[in-house]
Amino acid sequence: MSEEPLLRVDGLEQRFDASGSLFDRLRFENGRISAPRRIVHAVNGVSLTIARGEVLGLVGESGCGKSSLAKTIIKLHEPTAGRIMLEGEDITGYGFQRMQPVRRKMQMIFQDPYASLNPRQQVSDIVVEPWREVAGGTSGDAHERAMQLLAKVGLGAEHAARYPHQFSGGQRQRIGIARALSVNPDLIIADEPVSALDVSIQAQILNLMLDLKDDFGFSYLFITHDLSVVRFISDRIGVMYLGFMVETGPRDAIFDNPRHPYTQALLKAAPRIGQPLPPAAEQLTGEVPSAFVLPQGCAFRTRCPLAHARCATERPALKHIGAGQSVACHLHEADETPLPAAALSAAA
Amino acid sequence: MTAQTDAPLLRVCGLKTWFHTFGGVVKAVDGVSFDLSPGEILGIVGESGGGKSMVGFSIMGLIDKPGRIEAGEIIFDGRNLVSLDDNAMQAVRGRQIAMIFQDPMTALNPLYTIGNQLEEMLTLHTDLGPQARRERCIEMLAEVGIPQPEARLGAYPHQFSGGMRQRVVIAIAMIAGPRLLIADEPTTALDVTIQAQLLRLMKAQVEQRRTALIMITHDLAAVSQMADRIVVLYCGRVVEIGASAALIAGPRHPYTRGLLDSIPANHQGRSRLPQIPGTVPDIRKLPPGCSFAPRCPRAAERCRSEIPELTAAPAGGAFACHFPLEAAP
Amino acid sequence: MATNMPAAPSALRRFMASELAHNWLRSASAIAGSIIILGFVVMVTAGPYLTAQNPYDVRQLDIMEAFKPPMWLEGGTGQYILGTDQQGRDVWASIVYGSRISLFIGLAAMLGSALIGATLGLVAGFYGGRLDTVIMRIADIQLSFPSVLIALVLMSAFGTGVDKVLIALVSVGWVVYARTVRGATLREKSREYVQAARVSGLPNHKIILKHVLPNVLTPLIVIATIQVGTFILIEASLSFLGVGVPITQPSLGLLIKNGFDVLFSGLWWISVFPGLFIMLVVFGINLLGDFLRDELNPRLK
Repeated sequence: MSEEPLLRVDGLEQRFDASGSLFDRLRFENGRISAPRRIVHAVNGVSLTIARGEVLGLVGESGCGKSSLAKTIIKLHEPTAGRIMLEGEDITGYGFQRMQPVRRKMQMIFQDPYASLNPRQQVSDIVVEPWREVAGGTSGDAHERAMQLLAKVGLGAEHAARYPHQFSGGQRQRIGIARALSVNPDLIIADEPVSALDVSIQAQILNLMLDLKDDFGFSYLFITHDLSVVRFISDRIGVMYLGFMVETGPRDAIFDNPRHPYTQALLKAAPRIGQPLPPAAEQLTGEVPSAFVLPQGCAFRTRCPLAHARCATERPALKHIGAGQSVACHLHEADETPLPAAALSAAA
Repeated sequence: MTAQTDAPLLRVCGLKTWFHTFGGVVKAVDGVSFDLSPGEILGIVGESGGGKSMVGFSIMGLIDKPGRIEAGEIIFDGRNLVSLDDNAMQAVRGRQIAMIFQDPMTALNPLYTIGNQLEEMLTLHTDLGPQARRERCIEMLAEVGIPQPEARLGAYPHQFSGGMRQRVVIAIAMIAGPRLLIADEPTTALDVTIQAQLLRLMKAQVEQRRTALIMITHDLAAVSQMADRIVVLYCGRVVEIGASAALIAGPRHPYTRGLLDSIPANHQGRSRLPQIPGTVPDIRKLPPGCSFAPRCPRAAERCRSEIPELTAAPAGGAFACHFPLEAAP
Repeated sequence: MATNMPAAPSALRRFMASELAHNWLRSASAIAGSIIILGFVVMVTAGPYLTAQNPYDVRQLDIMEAFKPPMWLEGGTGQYILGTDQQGRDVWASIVYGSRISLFIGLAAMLGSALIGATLGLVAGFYGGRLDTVIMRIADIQLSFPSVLIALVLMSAFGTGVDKVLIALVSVGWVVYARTVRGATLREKSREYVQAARVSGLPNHKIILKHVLPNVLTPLIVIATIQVGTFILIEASLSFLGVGVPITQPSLGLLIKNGFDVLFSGLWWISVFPGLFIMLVVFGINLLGDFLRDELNPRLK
């Protein structure tokens, strides 16, 4: 564990300008003309690491920045601040050309199986596209490669010449997985890959994703809002709220001993089969604040049942509290013992 | 919870809703029967293509061409809704039966204030005067947990968050005092913390008024927390029906079993999830016999030729399977 | 949604099995429109074989045959079904030859507009920013003038000629493609398959050509169909006003103008038949265009 992690993200920030063109922004108020900007604070200083062969699950509600984080890591968006290191190589500032070899190592599976495949493209062409662009695949070998990939994800040769609309949601997601596999990546970022699927199909895809990981030995950054899914697939889990990482730790620690009040509330709110609705007293009230104007201090304090004066003034940092678990909350003081190197890489 | 002893408020009998499309006849609902007592909560679960939404639309009389109710009865309060004309159905809709949809934004008209939309229900369905209507609207908004209800009457839907909008939708659905509420995936679009709040609110609302509730969803966990009884649909047919706790503890139909096993939360450890192989068949080309047979671990020759009838189980409930699982001890 | 995908050998068979073909065969207006257009195309291509006279070969004209009424009127002959004009030209032959010019202008201007408009729309929608602003503001300004007026001004500046008519029509016609394609591009660009293409390492031009373009083409089919009709009308207006095609290459519009001077002296057929003909053709094109719009627009489904 002392080796360099596969992926290390340090203090990543992502802000989007949602204010539109100058024309849309112009305001005339109190006799003065102004053009205010509306900035979405999507990701606010997130750090994480993923080791080889590890599955890091990122969980949180809509608007918590987990998808923005994933898309920034794979450079679909340029980060506002922070660093992205893949195998020790700082890829933060890489442009199109320098990203090409990086894309061999890092691929993505998308959420919506209906929108993530080009409806006008044959399946055999879809699955080899990254391989052709960045791994030097040639037209001559493309067919054979496509067949191999389709077989890996449980589709047959008869599917190769078809178009996406001829497939069910689960089959389309298999095609999306085959596309990500085509370059033999080291890291696959999976953005809500099973959210759009029926529960019986979801189980098939989760099994397939784990089987492939065992075969190829790559890592997943697995993003989902579904606690039962994240519990099933992850080795470690990160919980996000309003663009902040509020808690990270090994899967069992997060589920058995959640330390952040938000993690606790999230776990209680999740519907459990055959159990009665949780009592109202244990439910979170209110809703997630706007990402345009972050609350002062702790982002969660507006809904936190345990918030106190310090939470309104000082933003809590993510601190290691032992056993690989870290939490960003003033209720938990940092573990004062010096960290062993292994714990550091697991908790960063 | 004790509602089963009352005379049924709603009795759906042999309902068939078919769509005549270019690619063939889609038998979205193909012989569905169940009944519902006042104050009872019935969950209808199934995967996409199971026909669960079409059951709700059929009851509401909202089936448009090329769809048609081919056969069956929907007896609501002694009247067969299938035989009602548009005007008579209009009077039932909203007043007697209300519906909540998945996307609260499409259910609200963006051009009117929520006060207008609430009040319209009262104008249409009650004899209240303007002052009484206004007071009732404020009361209703307060009941569904909208802070400062009086001030919010003049707000437009886009000024509310997703969770608050769904609260407004619930207020509109409940304000005319319907006897049956149909909720089609009411919390699917919402976050878990908001979802829990809304499920609680819906449950409180229907319990308080003894409104019957049909909750249509793909989410077995959510429905198990809400419903008294659960209907499981597969390819337009009822495969199992039973009291929630019994159905979850001891499903008789292999499909119900498969659905329950597929939920990762029910699965301990890190091995593979038990999965139902294959995919839901094309509903225009259903296999002869049991629709689930191609995916069923228990399927035998008989399943591939003979459609199983829904049979009552001795312990209550019913299932449509030639080779059912053992009853729970 | 059924759409026919070209390039495969069985494209025709697949098209005939599609929902579009199925509905087409059941829509009276679509069939009527298609028959009119098909008849028109046959007439234009078979041109010379359908007429006894080449109306623009002066040697074939006989001034003594001038002002013959249509064959069913007194003084008409079977030789000139729709009568003759001032120079003794067969009106039917003029229409056949004029249709070629009208249809050529309509089609060529449509193709030119679509090519330029779609390219600008793709670039504006995909890259956004200042380029987008400049292109779309030009389009907005242009849309605030009636297209016939713009064409008229351009033609007055250029002078007459088929090539100049084409330039004028393309300059007014590109806007509708640019706006439609830009809107569709913005929508497609945010879809996940475009993000997937980025992750796959495709450069922008490949993403545009391979992924965005094929998915923004469908609405263009409708616009292009109806625009051929519109262009035939605009060209007719320009020619009628004397700023369109030259006398040596008379289109249907110019035929109307030729007969207009004598229209009220009882020699109505010289103008009226070309006029009726334009109406029929544009009507046929619009029938088909409306059918396609209803079929290809998912929002109306």
